Amino acid sequence: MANKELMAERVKLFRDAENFRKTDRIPHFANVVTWKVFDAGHTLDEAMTHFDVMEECVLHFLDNYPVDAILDVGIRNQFNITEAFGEGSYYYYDREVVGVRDHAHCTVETLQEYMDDPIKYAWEKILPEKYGDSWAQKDKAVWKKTFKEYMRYIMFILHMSGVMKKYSLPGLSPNNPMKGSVVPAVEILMSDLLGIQQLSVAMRRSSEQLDDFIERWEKERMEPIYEKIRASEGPDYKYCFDSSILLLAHNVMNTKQFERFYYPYLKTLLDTYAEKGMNIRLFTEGSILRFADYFKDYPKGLLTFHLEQDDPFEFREALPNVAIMGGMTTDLLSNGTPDECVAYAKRLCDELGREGGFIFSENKMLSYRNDAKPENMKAVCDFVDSYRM
Amino acid sequence: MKKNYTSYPDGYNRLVKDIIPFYMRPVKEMIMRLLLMILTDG
Repeated sequence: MANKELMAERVKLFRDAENFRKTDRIPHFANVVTWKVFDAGHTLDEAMTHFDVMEECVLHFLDNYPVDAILDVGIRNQFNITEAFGEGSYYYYDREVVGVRDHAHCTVETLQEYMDDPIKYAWEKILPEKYGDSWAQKDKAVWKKTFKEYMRYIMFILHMSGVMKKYSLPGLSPNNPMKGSVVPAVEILMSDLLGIQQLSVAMRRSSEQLDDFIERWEKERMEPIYEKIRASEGPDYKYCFDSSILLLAHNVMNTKQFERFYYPYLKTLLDTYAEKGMNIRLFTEGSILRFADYFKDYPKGLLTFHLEQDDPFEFREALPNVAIMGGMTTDLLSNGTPDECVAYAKRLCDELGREGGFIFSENKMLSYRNDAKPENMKAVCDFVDSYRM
Repeated sequence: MKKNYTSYPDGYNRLVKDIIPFYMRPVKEMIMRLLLMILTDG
């Protein structure tokens, strides 16, 4: 089958599953990130700073594991850029581990200043604080070197986009680093602006200031997105989904806080996508089950929840109107046998996918060496690829 | 003496002129936005 036809067939498979239409097989979206580096016989330090090594790891995965789409083709590592700029990176890596140090760009008091002019704020507050005394030493030579690495990174992204086409793999959604992602206010507060600790305290002690920030974010950042969605022609069938949104901040909220700081704004976003009949992936990190009631009235086809810690069978009972992505646990992939993994994969497909509404995937982003045994991953990928409903 | 770019907006604007090639200037905002995101969050 020609590349374009196969890619179109895969997109249709994903879209049918999301819309609860019966499919002859279950699509597999590989939630695989840096695990493929180890599987290809390399270590993280080799792949993180060498695009040719990273590409070799991606190709090794794609040549050995039949999947219909993949989360990452090696383009999430930006270490060459931050290392060219000098010390002070929040992200770190060694041979086996990649991680990020907790950080916060603002206090509750400076949130409005950030919103007034984010570039000015980054220039005058974030970067001087992050890089300390060395900030003033960043001369033309350092910036030129950094910019050169930045351009190499952009070229690598474009190159790997070509690799995806060659393997007929559709992209997850139109979001990408150049266009920017759809990020609800509380998610940017938790991931970068306040961090988990400050956000948790602020929800109790500075709730009105949070309200002010969220309202402003909604008006200045989200409303243009709503307008763009409304002006669009509907689903874009080049991608598996029309949007992919990460939900993490709900994990540190009680019901009252979720109702005040999160749900009304998320609802506006989801309702806007619903107007255009779009398919949305919500990557629900942690657990979302205790908030299930908020999503029970959405029509089938709008929402696909990629579950991390929630039991998919329990979730289907709670929200029969929402498609499920995920199910295959890294616990089983790392500790089970190939037969046990395939038996569980079969149960997922049979019980969740008979009437559509299920996309096979791993529950966590496969990142570390022990997140899966290669023989288990191979058995599961082969099974899902060949199993007919 | 080597010049630095720590002031805003003068230093920032001077940097944009110094590092972004002429043919990429039309998309300089987008280019700088992602670069700043990488340097601040990464």
